[in-house]
Amino acid sequence: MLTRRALIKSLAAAGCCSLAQLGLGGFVAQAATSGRRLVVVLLRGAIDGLSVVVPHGDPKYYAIRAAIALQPPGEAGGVLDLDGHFGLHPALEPLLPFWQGGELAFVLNAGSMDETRSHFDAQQYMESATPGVKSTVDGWMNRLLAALSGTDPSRAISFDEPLPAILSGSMPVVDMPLGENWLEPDAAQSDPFKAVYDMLYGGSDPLSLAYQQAALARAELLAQLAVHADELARAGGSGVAAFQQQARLIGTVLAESPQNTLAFMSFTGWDTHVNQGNGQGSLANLLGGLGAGLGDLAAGLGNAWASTVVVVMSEFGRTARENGNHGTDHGHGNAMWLLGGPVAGGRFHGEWLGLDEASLHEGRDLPVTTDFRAVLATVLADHLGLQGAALAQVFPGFAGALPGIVHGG
Amino acid sequence: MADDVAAVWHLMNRAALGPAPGELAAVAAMGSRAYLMGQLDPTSIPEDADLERRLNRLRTTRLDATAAYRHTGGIPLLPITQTIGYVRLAVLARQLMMEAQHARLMRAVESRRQLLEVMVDFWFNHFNVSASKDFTMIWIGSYEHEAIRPHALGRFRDLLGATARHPAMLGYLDNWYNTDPQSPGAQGDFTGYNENYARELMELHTLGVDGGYTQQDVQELTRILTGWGINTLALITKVGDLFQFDESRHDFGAKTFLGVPFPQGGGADEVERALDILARHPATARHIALRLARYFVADQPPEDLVTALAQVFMETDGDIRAVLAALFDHAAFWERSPPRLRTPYQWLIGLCRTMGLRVDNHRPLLGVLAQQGMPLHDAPQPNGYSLERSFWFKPAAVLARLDVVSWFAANGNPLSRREGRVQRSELVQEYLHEPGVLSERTKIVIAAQSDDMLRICALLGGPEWMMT
Repeated sequence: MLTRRALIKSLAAAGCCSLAQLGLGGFVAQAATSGRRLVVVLLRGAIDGLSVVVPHGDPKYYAIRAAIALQPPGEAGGVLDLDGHFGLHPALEPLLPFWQGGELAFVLNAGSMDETRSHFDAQQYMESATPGVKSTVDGWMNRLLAALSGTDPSRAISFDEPLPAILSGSMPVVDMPLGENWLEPDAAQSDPFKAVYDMLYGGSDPLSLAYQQAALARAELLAQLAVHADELARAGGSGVAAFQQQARLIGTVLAESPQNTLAFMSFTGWDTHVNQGNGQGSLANLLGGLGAGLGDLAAGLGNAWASTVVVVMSEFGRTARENGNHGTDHGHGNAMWLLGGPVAGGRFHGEWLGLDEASLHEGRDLPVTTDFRAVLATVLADHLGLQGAALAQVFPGFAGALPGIVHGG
Repeated sequence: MADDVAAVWHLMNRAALGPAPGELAAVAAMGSRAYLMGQLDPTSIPEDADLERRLNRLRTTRLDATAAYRHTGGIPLLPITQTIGYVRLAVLARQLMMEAQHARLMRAVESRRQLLEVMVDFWFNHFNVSASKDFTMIWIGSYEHEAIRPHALGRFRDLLGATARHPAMLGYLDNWYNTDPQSPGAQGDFTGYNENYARELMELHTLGVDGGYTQQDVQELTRILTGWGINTLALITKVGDLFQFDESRHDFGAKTFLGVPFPQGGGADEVERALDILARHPATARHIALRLARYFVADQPPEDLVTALAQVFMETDGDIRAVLAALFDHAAFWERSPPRLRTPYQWLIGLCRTMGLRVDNHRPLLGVLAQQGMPLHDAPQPNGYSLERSFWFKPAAVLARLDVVSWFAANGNPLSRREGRVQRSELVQEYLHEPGVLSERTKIVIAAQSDDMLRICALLGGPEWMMT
């Protein structure tokens, strides 16, 4: 049993408020009123935003990226034109209909005002939403879960393993093993073993509470997800194919219950210091998987796509110029992507300053003109209806906004 | 002088990967101080002859980086984007990795030199390379036995220098590409600067992210490191050592690194000088002290401990043994509460040691580590795995560990065709009779079970094996 499960991934499910008290009541509580959903996709490793939203109308772009520039629209491997100046990477073609339908927007030059070029610190800041403060113990999506559960019982879904920092915190969030035999009862929860462990972990110490939460959440999820046995079995592993399968599954599961409000996915491998390629190559392969996966997410959501916002972000951008290895090094500003029915799409948001050396951060990177929290806070306010103290609880000490990026509820 | 068993249990779970059968009583009789003195000088501890014999059968684990590369038949590493799939398929490259992993797990479970194994775990993670990046898997074994293991209890400067010269690190963090664009050797894939290694060398390996360096220092160190890499001719001809300083790609201009002038015309000596500066920098002493204290003591270790360890590091020019001796002398090391969750690696190796398992087949252990989010030699990012135990404290992880305990309890030794494990009933009796190890609740649960299999579940599934 165990060896077959060696490669399984996890499904994280957050309990609603009542799970904290280890009761089942919350799972059958009243339906959430809004039915609105938020999916966050974190691209770990710092994606090269200039290869996603390509300023093909700017000769400077071709001057500073001799080897890795994307060709202009109409040429072989050329970008898909968006507005005459910017184009979309051709591998992201599955997303073009969303742009044309007004359901895809980019916030240009977004990111964290903290200037770190450390992947690890920058990811931590994106997940805690407290740039520059390392002592924050919880993730902003966990705080969001707490804020939402005050009125509507909400659950967060994630396949990341172990549970990512963005979902960690005081709200109980439980990751669940998945894989080809995910439905088989685990030994620890089967006879004769379960009775031993129930006895060992029947107390109220942290380890016992963790055991009890996991056992309860697993049982609950098995019941809820039993209809997806086949998809769950295939959703293991990592990489491009797994991302697509997990994206579709997350979309499907979100659509099934209005309590399934939040989802988080991460996708690693964007640290393209070497030979990133252009219309083809390693970055194009990753983008192909990402684009198709986001399309699958939308397909899985079905009608719920109309009430879902998807935010795609990365810890920072990469150097505007290519480096000596046909790649790019750690930079600063980047594009944030917004997808979904409520998005004010088919247009760019934020402030674009061009690629002149004087406009670049430290003469080398895209600047940050929009704090990533302004984008997130606006989505939470205008889409999920979070206001005042609840919003301040999710983004402590931050009051910015970027009005107009989503159509208000 | 005999020691309190509860203190020995604490020691064996922090300075070792858990006690082997009978070891608790033996170390209590010998005394913690004598045990630690031996562990700090691992060559003084005779290794188990049977273990040595079995390790010797893993013949590729004796190959150095150059020989390991040749063992693969000289997989074409250039251009890199075309070789990734090739390496994955290469049976010989995979054999190198599998034997290296088998040796690591066999030693971790069975070696008597436990502190050395603990420090190999610590330093590999500190100077992390990931087996799944490009061709790194070829060099996992040679990196561990050439760069990490010989210096794990030695001098930090030697350890740093050994990792800096190893093809595993030079490939993993891309410095083999790092080239002065104006240099005569700049061509093909080697035409410009690459900051990746220079940055991580300061951020992760030495000064720490708050160590006071600037982006300018990253750029200057990148220039210093130009030409420091892998001998690409040797990759093709399979003649000569793989490490090489290529003067034709080096930036010979004047530089200023961390405020220190590097005059025009310096070559490989500049790298050695930069490593000297980094290894002896107070920020490095503090960063290493903090990481050791975090690994051995607490997520947020007491400030006086970190200060004391940093001071010993500075005074002894980075003598790791001296720093560890100071750690073991500090009261904070012996503080038993609050207990900390073991990492998946510490927990799994500890289980195997408790049961006295002989690791003839290590693959199930690799599977468990991967499933628990801690695949061996394959932390996904250059910063390795988190040293903070709160990171690993996830509800489902508790259930997943209990699955594994159930599996061990239900099988003889799933890692060997030979029995190679202590009798279940003896094991339970050993711990029931050692005062100060088991909680009253665990004892009650053990007593309530009807057979040895379930008594083992109650013992090894208990919080005493999850936490330390």
